[in-house]
Amino acid sequence: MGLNPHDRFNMVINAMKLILMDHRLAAIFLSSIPLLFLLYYYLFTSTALGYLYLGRLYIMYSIIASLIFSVLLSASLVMDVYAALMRRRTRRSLGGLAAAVAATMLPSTCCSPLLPSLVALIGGSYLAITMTGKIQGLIGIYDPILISIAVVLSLVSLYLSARSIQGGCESCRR
Amino acid sequence: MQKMSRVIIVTIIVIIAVTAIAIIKLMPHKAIGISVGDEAPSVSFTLINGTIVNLSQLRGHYVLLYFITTWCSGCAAGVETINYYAPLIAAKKILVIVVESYDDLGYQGMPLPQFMQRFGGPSRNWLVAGYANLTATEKYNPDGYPDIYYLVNDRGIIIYKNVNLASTFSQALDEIKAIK
Repeated sequence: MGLNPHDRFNMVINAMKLILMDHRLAAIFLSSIPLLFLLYYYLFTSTALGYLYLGRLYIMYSIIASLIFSVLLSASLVMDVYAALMRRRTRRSLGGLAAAVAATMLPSTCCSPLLPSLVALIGGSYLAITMTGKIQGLIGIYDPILISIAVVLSLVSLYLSARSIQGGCESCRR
Repeated sequence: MQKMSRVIIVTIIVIIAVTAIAIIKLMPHKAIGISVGDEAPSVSFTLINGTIVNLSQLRGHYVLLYFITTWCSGCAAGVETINYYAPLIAAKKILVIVVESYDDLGYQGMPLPQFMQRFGGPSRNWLVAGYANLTATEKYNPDGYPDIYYLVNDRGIIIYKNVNLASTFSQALDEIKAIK
């Protein structure tokens, strides 16, 4: 029987309370937020994420997205650390965290030279010129949708991490 | 013991990934295609108004050649960056040619005239936009970067080259300010 959204929300809140009651975990959580924020802010602003749609307001878009990801992913990460310390299975929650991290990084690859460099190295100039745009173009045009998907995945990751320390998941116990 | 070996494995994977990314990030600056100091290859572009311009016709002028794609947010920011530095560019009598890489690198973004109208600022006699064919793109943008730009001096020699104009143009300014 699945939990309703209200119960899921309470599970996350209770997990956060557990984390914040431990000084070490609270310190890890609070110190990782600015680090992740700076990483995402650099990634998003260096590729001018959102400029096509928002023009100069892309800075606000980058700040808000960076803040959301840094808080959600820091919380997930600390919960997974706590779960590991409590000897609870974390494979599903770590997988969720990895998927969320990949999804949050994806939008900034639209304007990055990384993919074209790899394709040119493997397949040569003609392939890079005619093919990389097909991938990066999709990412660039649909970046607001990708950011929204990344937010959802980050929330799912947070829920999975909260579940693994809350005892709501019987298979999480070792 | 098992936990320790997992930590070690994860740490090794992270180190390899970071090293690979660092190496690849250095790749845009390696000597591929044309480099600073080379003579700018003579290629033709078809401007938005249908005129065909050959780069060799522009000897005697400094040229900022900017290859873009119209689906790239960074390119939109790059064109606005050029707009921002318009007084300096005009004062140094630099001709700016914004060209869409061949076929928009395989994915059709906004039409170029619309893109320039939205991000290019007011019409200027030293700024033109057009399309690069496959030959020109292979010579100037062989890796298919979303954006890449060159500063060519009045003798047709490339004096600066970089990607991501919006983030790196401050480095090109040193070369621009040195123009007499």
